[in-house]
Amino acid sequence: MSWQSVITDFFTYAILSYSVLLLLCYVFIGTYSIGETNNYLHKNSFTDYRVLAGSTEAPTVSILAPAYNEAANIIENVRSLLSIHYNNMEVIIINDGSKDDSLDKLIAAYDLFKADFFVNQQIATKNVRGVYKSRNNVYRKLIVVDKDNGGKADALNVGVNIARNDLIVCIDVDCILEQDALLKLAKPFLESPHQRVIATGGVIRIANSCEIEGGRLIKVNLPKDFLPRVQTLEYIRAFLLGRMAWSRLNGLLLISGAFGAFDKEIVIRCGGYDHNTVGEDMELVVRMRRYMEERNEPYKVAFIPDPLCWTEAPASFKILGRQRNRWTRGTIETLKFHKVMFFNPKYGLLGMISYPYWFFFEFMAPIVEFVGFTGFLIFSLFGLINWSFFLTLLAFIFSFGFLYSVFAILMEVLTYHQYKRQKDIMMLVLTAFLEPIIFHPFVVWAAIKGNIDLLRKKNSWGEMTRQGLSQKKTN
Amino acid sequence: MGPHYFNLAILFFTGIILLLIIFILAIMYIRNRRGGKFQKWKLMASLLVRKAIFFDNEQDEQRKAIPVTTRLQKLLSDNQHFRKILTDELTNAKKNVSGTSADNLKQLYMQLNLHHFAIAKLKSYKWYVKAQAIQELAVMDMKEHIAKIYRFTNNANELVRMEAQIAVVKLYGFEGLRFLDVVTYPITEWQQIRLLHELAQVPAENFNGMESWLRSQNKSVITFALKLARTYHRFEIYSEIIACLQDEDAGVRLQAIETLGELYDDDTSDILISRYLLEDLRQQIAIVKVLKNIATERDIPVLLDQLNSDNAELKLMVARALANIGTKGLEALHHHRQACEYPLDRIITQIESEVAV
Repeated sequence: MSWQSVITDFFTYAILSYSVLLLLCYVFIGTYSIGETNNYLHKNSFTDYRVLAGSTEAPTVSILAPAYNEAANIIENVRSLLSIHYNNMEVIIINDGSKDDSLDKLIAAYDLFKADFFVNQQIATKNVRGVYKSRNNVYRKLIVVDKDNGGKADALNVGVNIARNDLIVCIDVDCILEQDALLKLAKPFLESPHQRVIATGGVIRIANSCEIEGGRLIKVNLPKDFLPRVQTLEYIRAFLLGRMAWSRLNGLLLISGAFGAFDKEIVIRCGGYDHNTVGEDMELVVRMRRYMEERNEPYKVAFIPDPLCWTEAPASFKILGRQRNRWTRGTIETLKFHKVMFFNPKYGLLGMISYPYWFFFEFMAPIVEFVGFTGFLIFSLFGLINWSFFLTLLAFIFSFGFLYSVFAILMEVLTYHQYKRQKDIMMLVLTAFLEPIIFHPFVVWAAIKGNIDLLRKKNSWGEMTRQGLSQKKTN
Repeated sequence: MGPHYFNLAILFFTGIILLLIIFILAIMYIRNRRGGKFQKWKLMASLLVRKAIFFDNEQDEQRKAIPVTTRLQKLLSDNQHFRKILTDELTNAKKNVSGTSADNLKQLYMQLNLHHFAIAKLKSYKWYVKAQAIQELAVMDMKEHIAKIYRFTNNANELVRMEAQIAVVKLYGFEGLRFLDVVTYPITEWQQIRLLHELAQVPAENFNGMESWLRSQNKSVITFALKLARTYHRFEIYSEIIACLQDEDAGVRLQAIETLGELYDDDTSDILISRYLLEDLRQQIAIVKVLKNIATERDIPVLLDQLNSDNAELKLMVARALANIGTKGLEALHHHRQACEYPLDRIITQIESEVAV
């Protein structure tokens, strides 16, 4: 046996073992999520959320929405947030040192005045220039905070300092929320007598091509463009399968920064959002979990499979690349900050399963995939393995990926069935077929670039230009 | 591992993919076909329900029964989908009407023997079928089946238990709360909100048992009883509420403090102040919130002492409580030795602007 064949065999078996393990994880996640989704849907059929909406005993909620250079849509977005169906709430808009006229627009539209407001600096933040309230009683739930620019994490921390209520709901200001989104997100905090629910996340869906009117979603459409459509599929897979399975295990590490609710007391005790990472949403959840584990306090991170929040997905490869690059850096930074938990039994399921899964199959997966693909390609070119083996291996991975996506589409049809037309579902199946060929290699490449950027100590957020959601004209 | 294994796996995956796609298409096809039929049945059910709502018993005395066509009766006995559609229509309508119309709907429900199906479902091994049947029987006012429902109020399954508790309250109002005497499972906050909502729909009659609930071994029963006490202003159990301030459970103590914010007398502020130093921050904040509404000038010195706390949130609450006492409280706030230091100076500015508004 030559040394080349030893290397080839070792490489082949290492990559194969990794792939099979990853596929088994996906099979487990897919099947394990079914029970949780099924249970939730049955449970939900008994729930009348209006009871919570009108109750004085409902938890009080502060919605925190950081805004940076959002002047174009800020008035509409705030109106949309103020119209959310929930009694005990306040809406805190944090103007993170915008360079445009966001603040002036808000002052004019909502009749704001600068209030004498004591900001309790429970979490250290950049300077708060002023806190504004409305003279108009109709907007009594609105608080606008003007502060020096410090990034999203810093803006959210200011919001946490100002929030008066027990629960904080962090949201991207341009997201479209379902009317009952807050009720659904708040309910898990009331349901767990033996465990403290420290955070709840909801499903994010893609709003590209959907009809929006007055800040409300009127009609759900499947995105017309390929990139948003493939992300629709990706989100269905991630939220309906992945997060539901992790939620059932009580091992969720991530609640999307676009929409999530947190127990304010625990957030403050943990020191709030970390502005040293671009993955502040994941980092906070991991830190909160770690905090609870270290104190041996029973806790839970809940997840709602209902589509609660609609957001615009990047429609160009350039913006998508920046987003995925940032997600990769955020994941690595979070894993690095909390490396003490890696296979540490002291942290229970968090240390023994959740963290290692994220390390091996979220952080490592694109690297292994890139190295594996490049390695096999080189071996094939040098004749160390034959081309048919290489292509068979590719077809094996491809067919499993396609199968997993089709299963996710089936779950979507069986549960929420957002895309009613047969044509749309077939288009999703076609997208699932094309994804591993067009979309996935790009995402892997963006993740590799994220790794390289992190090694080069690049820590920019990466500008996220949005096209804007299609607004239906109102007369 | 040879390539033939991979080929087999690829074939296997492809087969499943094809099956799944066929399954998806079949589901969508069945849904589309059923959609039209279900729509028609829904219309039929809705017409029958409407007929029942406006059925005049006196005018149709000789008939007594609500007229139902033979076709509809046959459909009802043969087709479980139609039965479900009609039951849903009936229960939804029943939730929104009262008086004779509600009685008519109940009559139709019994006339069609739908209650027999619901009772059969109570024996199902699927919890959601059982829970749905309980909900249905309660909405349709089937008091005669209370015994069957009542035994589920301490069921091991949370949803079954919750629906049974709601059902007994729906059927018997405050009298239905007697399940609190025996329930051993915790009543979640969500369930407490639902129960309070349900109780708000009925007159507060036969409202007994508060004293024993406040002494329950089940802490969630105590917290719920405290909520009931403040919602229904049960001053007569004031001393039992005070006793809850000594409870080992922090949640019970918190509820007791909040309840005293609604049910207080001249001694309440003294009692709360005496507890203050023994409590955690959360309870301390709750006490100060209550004091904001009930403190008098004689409490000013105690409140001033609390301004020395390191916790700014607590400071803000105390300052608010002082300001709420009136001019003397505000003056005392201004004369505090930290009044010109951060953060109290900022807090005072905010409080003053709040008072001005």
